[in-house]
Amino acid sequence: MPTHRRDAIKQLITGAAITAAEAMFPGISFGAASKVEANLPGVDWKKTPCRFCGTGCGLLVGIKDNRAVAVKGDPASPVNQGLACVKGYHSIMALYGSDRLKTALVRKNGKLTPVPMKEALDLVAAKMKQTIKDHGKDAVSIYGSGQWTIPDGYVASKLFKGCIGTNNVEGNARLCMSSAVTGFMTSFGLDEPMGCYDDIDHANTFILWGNNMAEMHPVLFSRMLDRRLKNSDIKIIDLATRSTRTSIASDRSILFKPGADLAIANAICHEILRNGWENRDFLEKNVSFHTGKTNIGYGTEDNFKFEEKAETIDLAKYKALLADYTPEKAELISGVSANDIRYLASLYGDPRRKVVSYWCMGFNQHVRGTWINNLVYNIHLLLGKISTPGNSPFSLTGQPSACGTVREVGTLTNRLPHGEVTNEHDREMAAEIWGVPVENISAKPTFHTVEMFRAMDRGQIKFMWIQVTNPMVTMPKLKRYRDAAKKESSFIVVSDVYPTPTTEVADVVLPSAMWIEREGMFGNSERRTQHFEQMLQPPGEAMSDTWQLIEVARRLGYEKQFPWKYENHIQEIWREYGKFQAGPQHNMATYEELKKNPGVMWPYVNGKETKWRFNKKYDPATAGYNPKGRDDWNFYGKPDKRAWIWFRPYEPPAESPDKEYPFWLNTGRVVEHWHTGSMTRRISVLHQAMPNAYAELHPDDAKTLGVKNGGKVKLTSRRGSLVLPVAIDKRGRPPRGMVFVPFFDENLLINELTLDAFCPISKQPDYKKCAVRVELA
Amino acid sequence: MLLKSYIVSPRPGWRDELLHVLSLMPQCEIIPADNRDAFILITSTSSLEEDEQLEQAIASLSGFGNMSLVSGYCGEMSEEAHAHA
Repeated sequence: MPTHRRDAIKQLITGAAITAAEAMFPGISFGAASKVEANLPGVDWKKTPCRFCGTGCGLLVGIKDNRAVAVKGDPASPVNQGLACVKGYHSIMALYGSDRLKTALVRKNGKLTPVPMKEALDLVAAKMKQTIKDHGKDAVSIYGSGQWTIPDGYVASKLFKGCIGTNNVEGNARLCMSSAVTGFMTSFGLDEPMGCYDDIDHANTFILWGNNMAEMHPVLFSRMLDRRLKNSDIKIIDLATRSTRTSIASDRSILFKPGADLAIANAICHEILRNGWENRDFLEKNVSFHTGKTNIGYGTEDNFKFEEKAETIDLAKYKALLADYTPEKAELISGVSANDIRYLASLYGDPRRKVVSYWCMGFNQHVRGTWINNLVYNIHLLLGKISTPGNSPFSLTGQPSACGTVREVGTLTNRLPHGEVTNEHDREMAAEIWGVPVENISAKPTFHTVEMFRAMDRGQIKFMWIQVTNPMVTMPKLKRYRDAAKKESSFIVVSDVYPTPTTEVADVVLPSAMWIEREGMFGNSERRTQHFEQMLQPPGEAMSDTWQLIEVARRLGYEKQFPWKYENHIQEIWREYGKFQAGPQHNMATYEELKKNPGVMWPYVNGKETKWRFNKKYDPATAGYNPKGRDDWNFYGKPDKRAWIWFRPYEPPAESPDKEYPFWLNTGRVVEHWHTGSMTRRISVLHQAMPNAYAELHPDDAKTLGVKNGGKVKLTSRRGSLVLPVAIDKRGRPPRGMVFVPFFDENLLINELTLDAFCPISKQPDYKKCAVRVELA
Repeated sequence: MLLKSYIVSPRPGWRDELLHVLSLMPQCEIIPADNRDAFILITSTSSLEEDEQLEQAIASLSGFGNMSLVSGYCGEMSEEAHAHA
């Protein structure tokens, strides 16, 4: 290798290590080796949210000659305050992979063949028309993403729900966030967190529930570590099913058996009440108690149905139901000692402590995902430690606009940009804003994601348009759904920026403009909406997903509903979408304000962001409800203006290890790669740092199997088999009897083995718990 | 040619000795932090086998606490390596 190239690569990997160290050890200094901001003449710096995770870090991208040449954290962004993680620092390199899709492709004689974009869009529209004519409107569908921009999701919803009249609209956030949504809806009647990232600056206790923040939300984790450096009273507790980098950096690491978080949370509530730590005044004024159905199933059968039946109870009854969750009984279920459970309860219960609970996929990808979301709210509600600076149960998001697009725009089968399809008033509002007859909008939700792919397998769905997501890597029990997509009866359109296993099953591939090659908005975990302008020309005929949808909508005859000019269509879409959210509960900033600021949090009322919802000191939507004695709070999402505490029992996972399949399989992510790796694996430095998936084993299990680092094992579940290299103490350490495999590697598809069981309320699959056999390969 | 970067955390009280030992290894280059025990380690080896042996040798050093791989480059692969590599 030439010396200058070697030196350049060495600089790159050194820079990456320094960046990672700065995130892990805030304040660390490497003197002269630390990066000095390059002096880049002629470079124009522009603001944008990061393309990758749901943290929503603000970045500054340096543009020169229609090329992104540099990137840095935006010091003006309140989210990351100038920091970025390893993916953020390398983000612009994802624009320039050598195999970017630049032309449309249509399958001809079994082979994807380049065609002009116009021809491909004509074909998509013609195929949709014909399918609707032959099989009805519910035979066509769209499957989008938490990486859709807000305008992408909005026009998709308007086209499919408003114009065509089918609720076959889903997003991959069903796989990552829907338990958080149903958790919020059942406990508070409104989606999305009441607090914000500012809670980090006020809290002194952080409890992380099944959440490897050091790798998945590294910038927020570094903000927490920074706070701890400056304050000796800060405690970070990692409560998880495997040891990770987060465990190493935390003050305590407590491991529990998969699925047993339900028992632990109930035992914490039991201890709070047994010790009399509850906030009686808060409970009497602001909380009501409820139970729901139990033994609710796992959704593994087609056409699974579930309907909740809530029953109101009182505190005494709730306390009696918790009698089954003494710390000792919870220890038997969870493997966490009764003393550790009491310790956790004491941290929550200590009146001097302000507590933030963080969670993400560990809670949400859970067959009782809604329940465990409810249970962590119960803890905070019992203590009244909620919606005040530093006291916050906070559901972290995985994708850059899972909140902004899928949850707020409502690109799920049951949702509308404001409210639910089942609600007549919400349908009327949508019909009026969209300029369609109200009868167009069906009152009946159709298929959630897993059931949508099952419907394709059954031949009910004939046409699916997939945008910004890669389901042929991410669907659980993958073989069934890949076979479904390959059937003659399935016509698949895929909009993406690179070839993926999903484009491999497509009949039409549409090249998409990526991130800053088009204008858009993302909405992050803390209700912050961020705008980015078009900074670059997309390559070849690549086109934004928004404009692809508009082009097809017009070909279907909906010119009146999609009248915008290219020059200002994003501004016009934002103005129209804003009508749905007008009012103190969800008002959004104007287009002009978004362009000016590094993100604005909603509800945005009278020029002011709302940092803590439901609290009368901060939230203007609480005004006008002042019954005697309720001066501080208004949980206005529920008809009784109260937050709901639900009793939710422990119920076991859908599949647990047994003699034939004695290991738990746990799947997840790594810091280097974004989801299925279709972008980050094309960034050389990230790909080289983490080139392939692996089977992470406990050293004792590896010894028993007789395998060393890099040796091969074969994992087998009831769904399939996969051979993987072994990793021992490389990145994390699972307990004995568990194997962890990241899902980013399209060459080692771990979802061939996973189970398509889901939470019956949220319909979100559980990727964290199924049973496998591990053998030497 | 394999180039890798790591963050290394020594065991308490072992920082200087660990830095000294590593500085004697020809495949290792060290960037110490000014204000923390942790440091950056850059390794340069000529084969996967040599890389694995070096990793094991480092992990067996007395003062070794924890080592996290951050980034790597394998000269045999295309710089545009991607999912289909």
